[in-house]
Formats: sequence, C-alpha cells, structure tokens
Amino acid sequence: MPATQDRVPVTVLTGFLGSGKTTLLNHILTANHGKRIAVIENEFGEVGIDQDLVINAEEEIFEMNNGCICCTVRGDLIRILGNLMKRKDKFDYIVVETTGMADPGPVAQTFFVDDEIGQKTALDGIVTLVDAKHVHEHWDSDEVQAQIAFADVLLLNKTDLVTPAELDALEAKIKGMNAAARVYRTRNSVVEMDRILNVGGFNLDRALDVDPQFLEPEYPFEWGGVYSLAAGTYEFVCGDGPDPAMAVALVPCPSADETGRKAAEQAAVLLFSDEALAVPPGGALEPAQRLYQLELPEGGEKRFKVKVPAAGAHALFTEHGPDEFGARLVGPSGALDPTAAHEYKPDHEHDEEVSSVGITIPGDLDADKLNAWMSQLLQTRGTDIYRMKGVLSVKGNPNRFVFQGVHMLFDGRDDRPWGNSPRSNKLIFIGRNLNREELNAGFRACLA
Amino acid sequence: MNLFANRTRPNLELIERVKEWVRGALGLPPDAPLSVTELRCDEPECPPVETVIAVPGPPGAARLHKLPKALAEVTHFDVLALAARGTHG
Repeated sequence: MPATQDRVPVTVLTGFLGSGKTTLLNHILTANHGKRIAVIENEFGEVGIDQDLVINAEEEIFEMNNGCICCTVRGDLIRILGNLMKRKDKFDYIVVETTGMADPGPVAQTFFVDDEIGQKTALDGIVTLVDAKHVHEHWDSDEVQAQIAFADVLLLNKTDLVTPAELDALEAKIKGMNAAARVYRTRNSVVEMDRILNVGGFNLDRALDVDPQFLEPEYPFEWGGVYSLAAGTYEFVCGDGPDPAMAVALVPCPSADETGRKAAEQAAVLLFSDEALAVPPGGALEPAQRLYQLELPEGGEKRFKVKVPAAGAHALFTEHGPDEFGARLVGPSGALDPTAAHEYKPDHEHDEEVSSVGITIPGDLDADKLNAWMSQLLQTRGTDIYRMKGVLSVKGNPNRFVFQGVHMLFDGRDDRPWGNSPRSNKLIFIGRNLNREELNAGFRACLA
Repeated sequence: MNLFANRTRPNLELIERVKEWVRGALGLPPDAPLSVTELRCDEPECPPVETVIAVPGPPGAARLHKLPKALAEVTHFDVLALAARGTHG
C-alpha cells in the first residue's frame, strides 16, 4: 500500500441531527489551515456552504457480500471518491459529512474494502459531535451509540446549554462507552483544527501514540494495600456489605511500600481473571498465585484465616472497597493498617450496551493461539466489535506488532523493535455487549 | 485467518485493466465509476477470496458481480462471461 502521506486523508464527521456538524464543517472550510478541502455532504438543508468542491450525495448502503457486515460499504462514497480522484490536483483533504442517522461502520469499511480507494485515500479519523443538551433524548438510538463508539474524536458540543455537573456526567458516560477517543468540549462547534484533522485514528504508525486515557486500565479490584507481615496466622474480617461474596488475592511483593504495591498489581490483574476458589467463613487463604472468593452470608462478622508461611511484604487486593464491608486484616495485636494502599477506580458503570474493554498484560503471546482466538472472536463477535486497536508482544518477534480493526476487518503489521523496553500487550475493544471477563480470559490464554 | 500475514493489495493497473473490461462488457461510459475489489472474507459463509465488481448507483440500480478468484487471476473472458450471465445485488 502506498505510504499514508501519498494518500489523500479523509475525515468523517458524524453526529445526530442538530449536533452542529454543518457548523463545524463551515469552520473547517473557513479556518486558516492551508488545506484545500473537498466535501462530500450527505446532510441537506441545515446551513448552506459556499464552496466549490462540495458534493451532495445520498447515502447508499452496498453489500459487497450479501449479508456480510464487514463487506458492507457505501456505494455513494465509492462513486464520488472515484470521481473526485480524477480531480486530485484540486484538493488535498476530504471531509465526509454523514447524516445524523448514518452508521459509521460502512463509511469506515469503504476505505478498507475497496482496493482503489484504499490505495488513493487514507481514512484519518471519525469525528463525532454530541449535542450535550439533547443527546439524552437519543440514548436508545443505535446510531447515536454507534457514532460515539466509532469515534476517534468526540466533541461535546453546545456546552453552554448545560451545567458543569451535567457536562461532567455526560463526559464520564461517553468515556465509559469509548475510552479510546479524545474528548473535547466545544461551543458552537469551535475547535482547533489540529484536534480534528490529521489525528491518525486509523494510522498504524500512530497506534503507539500513548493516550493516557486509552492505556489507563480498568482494574478488576477496587482496593489494594500492602502489609509487612511476620510469619503466622492472621484474620481477614468482613462485616455485611453490598454483595454476598468478594474476590480477594494475597500476593507476596518485593517491598511493603508503593513500589511493592505497584509491582504486585499486574500479577493481581492476572489472578482476577482466573477462576476463584470459594472460601466459606472460617476457611483459610494464603499468599498464593490464586484468587479466592470469600463467601459473605448476611449477618454478623465473617472471619477468614490468613496463613503467612514466611515473613515479608504482602499485597492484598479486594474486589470491593474494604470500607463497604468494614473489612480489615487483623493480627495478634489488632487491626493492621496497610503501609501503602490505593483505591482503584471501579469499572465504569455501563448502563449502555456500548462499552470499552481495555486489556494490559505483560509478557509474550503465542502467535498461533492469538490467531485462533482472534479469528474466532471476529467471526463470532465481529458484528458487535466496532473498533479495536493495540500493541502486541508476540513471542519470537523482536518488533512490536501494531493493529487496528473495524468489525471483522483487521489491519496489522510490525512496528519498531522492543529493544530494552519491557514487552507487554495493550489493546482496547469498543463495542456492543462486550464481555470484559471473557475477553480478558481469552486474551490471557494466548500468552506463550 | 492469519493476523500476521501482510496483505498486499492488488496493484492499481490490474484494477484499472479489469475496470476497462467491465466497462466494455457492460457498455458503460469510459469514466463510469466502478469498484473492483479483491475480498478476503473470514465469514464462514463467504469464499476465502473473490473479486467483487460493483457498479454503484442509486438504490435499486446498483449492480454487483462476483468472481470466485483473486483479481490477478481474472481474465477478460471471465468478465465477458459474467456480463452475459447477468448480475446480483
């Protein structure tokens, strides 16, 4: 494929009717960015755009393979882009404005499925405008959810019409749905052009760009604390809480401080994707590479023995905050305070069907296992997976493997060498009805 | 499916050659937009590789032709035979 810089970049604007797409388009066309922009417009009648290279089109969904979602493309784009490319000297950037009801899937797929378009243009990113005031009326809409899920950039627009608290709540909700997108707050669709153009959302060269939000893992536990323990028997005591059970893991760590806690974190993440051993009150747990599920029947305090065979630093990770259960680790002289502790943000509360699942796991992957798992996943769940991207460490490969995908379409290649950097895997899925535990367990099973 | 296989797209000359055959066979104007694409699909019911020739048009008027082979293997005769057989989609 020709290098990205030889292809004409394309930005797709999506957003529900009235969210401000046409206003944004006018800003793009009048901003001083030095680009000559061709516009393919599917939305009619909002604001007139005075521009030569504006092409109106009616959306045509086109199935290249009957019923196969990954081969569903936009016929109008194939036709118009094909014609535009004959006037390639007249512009150097393309913006596609979709209708409020458009599904971004076929739009994005057009750039990956059609060979000629794929070689002459490069989908740069999907920018979705969200009407901060009125989006709540449309949460049930599949289109609104898909437009948010597919976005590389989300503009929370019309922020002047809502309170700061409402805006914070909306942003949190949207980040829960699409944790990989960059989110900006805007009024009247005003935004710096470099935030929406040339963002490299589908560019594998930029898959390694570290977006803290993208890489911030969601931990399967809410609390972790480290203790310096002498050999002996302790008790983990729990009162009643919001759940009749709680998963815990106790792992040895190098030091009873913040560094030790951080060092134990990844091991705990792996343990929390394991099957848990049920422990009734009075049962025992010990520092081990395993996950325990403490049974917490209602009524009174539940006591669990904690057997520590050798003195040293130990990290305790609990599924819920200990405060919720009045939980504490008790030694011979009473309750123990951790020497370092951290409250993890709980998994996002996903009221929506659309959510993001981020996975961060150190180590190398077995190429065959990964191939088999990913193929199966895309065949069975590809319809529900809108976007995915990540960086993988494959055993025997000295280079990082970067990938991105839209539904069943997968695009990946080797990137720069790992060198002395610790090898690890970071990936994110954005989709509908994603099963976090299943994805974590499936991916973990691909480790070499 | 092999995630690590680098898929090389057919070169544009090959695509343009087939497009010319299609325009000729279907009696389309020389600048008629067409999509000629080699699809490799992992859906169980799809063939592993096929060349899809799409003639975009307004809803109902779009045409789709398929050849169960890689683009590089498509011959002028294939296209003529396909045009004679009719369309799908």
